[in-house]
Amino acid sequence: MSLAEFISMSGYGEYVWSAYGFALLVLAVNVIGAVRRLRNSRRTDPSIGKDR
Amino acid sequence: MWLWFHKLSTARNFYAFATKLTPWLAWLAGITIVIGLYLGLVVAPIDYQQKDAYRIMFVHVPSAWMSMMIYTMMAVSGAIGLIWRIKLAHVACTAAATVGASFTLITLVSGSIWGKPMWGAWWAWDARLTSELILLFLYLGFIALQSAIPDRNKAQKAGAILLLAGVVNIPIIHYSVLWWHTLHQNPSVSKFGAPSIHTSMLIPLLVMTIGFTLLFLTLLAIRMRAMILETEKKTKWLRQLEESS
Repeated sequence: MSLAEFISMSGYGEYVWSAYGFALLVLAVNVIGAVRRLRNSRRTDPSIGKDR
Repeated sequence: MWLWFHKLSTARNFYAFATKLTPWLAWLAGITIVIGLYLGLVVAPIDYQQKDAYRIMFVHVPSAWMSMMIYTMMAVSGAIGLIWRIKLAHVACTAAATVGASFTLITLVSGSIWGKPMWGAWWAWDARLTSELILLFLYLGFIALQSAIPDRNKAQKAGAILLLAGVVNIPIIHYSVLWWHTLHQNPSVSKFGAPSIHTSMLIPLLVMTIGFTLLFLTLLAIRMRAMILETEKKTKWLRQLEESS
């Protein structure tokens, strides 16, 4: 299987990759959001949560 | 007073436990999802009817399972919080909500993208699609309720009641394809007897589901830690206020 064939997904490439892309985007936003929230909750009070 | 200390200590214990667990969960989730993607996009054979378009299934179906599993977990957790007044159970509910809503959104959008080439429509008021959309509204309702009620305890109680009321939707989603023969196909994995899906397609489906579950647990651990820090800060602030007055 060539790379071009893989990307074209037997003609359904735009559908397959947009579905996977959307899922990746949503999950990435979740990860970034969770990590950022933990970081912010630490920053406001440095006396707690230092045990990383 | 002792009970209050006890609760604080369990939250602290949980915090330490979750902190240790997080990197392991994160790495396992990442590795499992990469393996699942490889199996689903490269190893699994092409479908004779749907060609490669069926590969959308490997994000669609695990996301749909996650959307229902997370909701059920939240409802059970909410019930535990209500009955035994365990604060950590309510924290778990709130921390899980956005992740659950995200998987529901992925299910709906990936299903819509899959439906266009296969059914010829982005959306139909099919029983399965409609009940999954209601699930998204339940998640959003829960999230809105948490931010709308300023009293934390009241918000958690109201949220748990909403979750328990909405739990009837879960079997409706599951059986919708059997009760109403509309557009969405019948289940092929959770049938009685052998699943009507080939092993080469079933394995990536299960690997992706394990990967998504690990990712959910990672996000849950991180979000619960953040929420515990936020509430502990609040109690500290309250104590300082009491001392100064």
